[in-house]
Amino acid sequence: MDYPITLDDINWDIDFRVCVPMLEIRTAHLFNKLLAFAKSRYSFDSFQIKEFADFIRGYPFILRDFIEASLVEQNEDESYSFTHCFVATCFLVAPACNQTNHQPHRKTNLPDSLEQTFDLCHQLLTDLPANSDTRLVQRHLRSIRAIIQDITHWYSQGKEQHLRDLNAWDRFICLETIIGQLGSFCSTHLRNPKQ
Amino acid sequence: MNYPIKPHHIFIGFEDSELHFRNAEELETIGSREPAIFVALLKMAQSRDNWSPFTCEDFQPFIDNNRYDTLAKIRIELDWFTSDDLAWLGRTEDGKYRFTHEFVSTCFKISPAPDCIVQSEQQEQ
Repeated sequence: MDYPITLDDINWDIDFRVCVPMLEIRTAHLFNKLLAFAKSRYSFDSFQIKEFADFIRGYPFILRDFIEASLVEQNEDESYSFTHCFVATCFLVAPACNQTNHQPHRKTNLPDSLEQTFDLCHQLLTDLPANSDTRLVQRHLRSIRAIIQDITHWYSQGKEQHLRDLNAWDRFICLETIIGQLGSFCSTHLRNPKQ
Repeated sequence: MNYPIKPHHIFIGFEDSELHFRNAEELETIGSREPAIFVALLKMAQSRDNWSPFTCEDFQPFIDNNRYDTLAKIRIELDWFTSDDLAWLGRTEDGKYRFTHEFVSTCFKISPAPDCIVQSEQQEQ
C-alpha cells in the first residue's frame, strides 16, 4: 500500500504561524522551512544531509532541531526522511483546497455565501483557459477582491480570533492565492488577446 | 481531486482498539469524550470503503448495542460530535452526518495502517 499523501495534497501557501498556539512558534518555523524544502524538490522522498544543509544554510536552526521535533528521521543508509508526523500534520492543517462536498472537507464557520464564493472562484479558475471573455473575468476578479477586503477587515477586528479560526484563515489564504492566479491570467490574457 | 486518505489507510486495531485511541495524544489534547464512537465510525467507513454521509440508522450496527441500545442515545453522541466547538462530524443539507477532514486526517495521523508506512519507507530506499 502506498503512502496516500503527496505534496499535491497539501496547500503549499500555508504559513504554520497561524497554528500558534496549537504549535509552538519555534515548531511553526520548522514546519515552514521543512515544507519549503519539500516544495523546492517537489517531493517527500528521502534526502541526503548535504542537500538539506545547502537548503537551510544561513537559517538559525540545524538538522538536529528538525529531528528532535520529530519532523525528520534518519534511515539505516544514513539518508533522511520526512516523518509521518510531519506529513500528516501538514495535511491536517493545510489540505489542498479543492475538496468536494462528496468527500471529507473542512468544517468551517464561514458564512454560506462565502463558501459559495470560494467554490465559484475555483470553478472560475478551472474554466479560465476556455474563457475568452476578459470582461467577465475582470468583473469576477473585482467581486472577489471586494470580498477579500471584507474578510481582511473582519479579521482586523480581532487578531486572536483569526488565529483560533484556522479553517477560515486557511480559506482566506487560498482565496489570496486564487486572486494572484486570476491576476496573472488577466495580465497575460490582456497582453495576448488571441489566447 | 480525490481525497487521498481512504478508510483502509487507518489502523483501528483489534480487541484493544478503543484503548489505542484513548491513549492517543491528539484525543487527550482535544478532550475526547468517547473513543468508542471514533472506532465505531471508522469500522463503518471501512465496511463501506468510503467516507460517504450516513444516518443514525446506518451507524447503529457498528456501535455497542449494550451501551447504546436506542437510536436516541446514539443520536445524542453523534450530535455531540457535530457540536460547534468540535470538528469531527458535520451535517449535510439533507440532515445526514458527514465525516470531516479534521476527523479523517486526525485518525490517520494517530494511527496509519502499518503496511502503508512500511511500504512507503521501502519505496524511498
